[in-house]
Amino acid sequence: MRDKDRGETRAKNPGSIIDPERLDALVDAGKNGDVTAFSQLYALYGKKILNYIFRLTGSREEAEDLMQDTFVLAFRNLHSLKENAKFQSWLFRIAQNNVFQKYRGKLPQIESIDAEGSENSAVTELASGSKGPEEAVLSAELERVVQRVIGELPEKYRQVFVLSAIQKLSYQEISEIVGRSLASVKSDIHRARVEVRDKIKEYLGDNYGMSNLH
Amino acid sequence: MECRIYTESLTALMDGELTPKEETAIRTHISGCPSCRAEFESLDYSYRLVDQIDQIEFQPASWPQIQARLTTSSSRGFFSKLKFPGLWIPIGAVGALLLVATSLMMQFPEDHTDQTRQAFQSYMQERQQEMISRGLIQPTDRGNPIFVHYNPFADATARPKGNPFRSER
Amino acid sequence: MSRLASLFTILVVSTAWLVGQTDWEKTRSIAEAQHEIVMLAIKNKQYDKVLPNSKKIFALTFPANREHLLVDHAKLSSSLLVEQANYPLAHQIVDEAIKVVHNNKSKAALLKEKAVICSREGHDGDAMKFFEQAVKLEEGKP
Repeated sequence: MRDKDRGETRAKNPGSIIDPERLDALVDAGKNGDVTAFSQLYALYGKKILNYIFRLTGSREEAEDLMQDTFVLAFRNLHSLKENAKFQSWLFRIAQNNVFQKYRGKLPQIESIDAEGSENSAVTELASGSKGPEEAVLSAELERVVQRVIGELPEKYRQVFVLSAIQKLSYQEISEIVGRSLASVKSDIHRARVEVRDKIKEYLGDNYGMSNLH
Repeated sequence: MECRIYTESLTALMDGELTPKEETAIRTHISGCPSCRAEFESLDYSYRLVDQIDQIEFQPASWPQIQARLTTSSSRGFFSKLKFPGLWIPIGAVGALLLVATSLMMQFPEDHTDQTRQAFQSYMQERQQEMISRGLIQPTDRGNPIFVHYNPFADATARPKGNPFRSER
Repeated sequence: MSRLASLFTILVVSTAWLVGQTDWEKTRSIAEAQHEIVMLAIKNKQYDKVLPNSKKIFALTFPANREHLLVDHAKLSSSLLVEQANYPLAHQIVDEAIKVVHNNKSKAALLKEKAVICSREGHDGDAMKFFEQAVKLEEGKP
């Protein structure tokens, strides 16, 4: 889901993307071993988790595998979730821990995706869709630049940047996911945002500020 | 110096994370400070660029694979790693393999893996019981135990309970 | 003379014992404080503080008969982290503890803890592997 708000204050994702009572019921059912109920949680949160992992790893294939691992782990350990309302942040935490486990505590180096005819199918997929050819090319280029910039961020900035700028989570929720204080998260998000701005400016050069944004 | 305080909160402003009072203070400052306004606009532009990027499409069709893993105890991804399209093993070959395996099992001692699994399951239960008896955890109806605050030693001599290093003689 | 020698021996041994007790008390006190910090950090999900403070405990010198306390610290920390689904950090704590313990009983206990973490993660193969290593160590096999 893209944030369409172009105002100065952006809309944040609510803590839960479904009605809290329904979430509570689904999580409780999952805790009792109800796989069908859990499949609904998968349908609701799968895209967020997939995209989070993709932005951390840069690999669609890895993201798919790790997303599956995340939901399997979540189901097996659902009983350890004390507050059902915190399901989303708990799930994100499992996802990021899976990434760290896979890459032994360090986020992977994301390869630069700037060659034409790149084999990165995720970038191609993202750039296609209902856009016209010119728009699609510009969009693909932007996607490459942004993904490269995200990949160049230091680990702790990359996490909070993706959670804030792309997943649109609140600072409080981000703090719960990454396990750092609110003040620390706020500071890191600011630094990440500034660094992303500086890097995009570097890549786009004189074109920074000139694009016709919708 | 004052500008630095405001510029550090620009992202929080754009993320909707400030209190109304804080927001008013920053907006008032920005409206009167050209350099902060320029910084705000520059950051805002990068926000809008990033907002443009799309998300990967999610396919719930992968649920059956996950469901299969939920109902077995095997480790992940074995079948997904068989990346040989069109790999078909004739039923006859499978039957022959089963026959060989069965005869080998009849000749060799019991599978240690099963013994290990059973021993591990017993260990897990003993571990849980030990932690309960030492007062480290309290079981609950919901299955997830409550960890008793820093209490690994539940001794009989009324030494103060605390972390494992407290008052050890 | 022999009485003097006996008295001297008793004095030396007592002094050594007292010094040892003082050393241990210092170690115990530091470890106690660090354990509190680690527990609080885990409870507040300040994960960046957990390992550095645990390492301060692991850097201390534990007498052989106190090593089980270090194992307890690692197990407690690991258990809490597992409940919070932070498996990588749980692994790291136990790995650091394994590096510093000396006796096989301690190593086996920590390897079993690794098995527990792996099992909770869903890596049953790895869990069995660590458990088997622990059992072999307990049985005195290489």
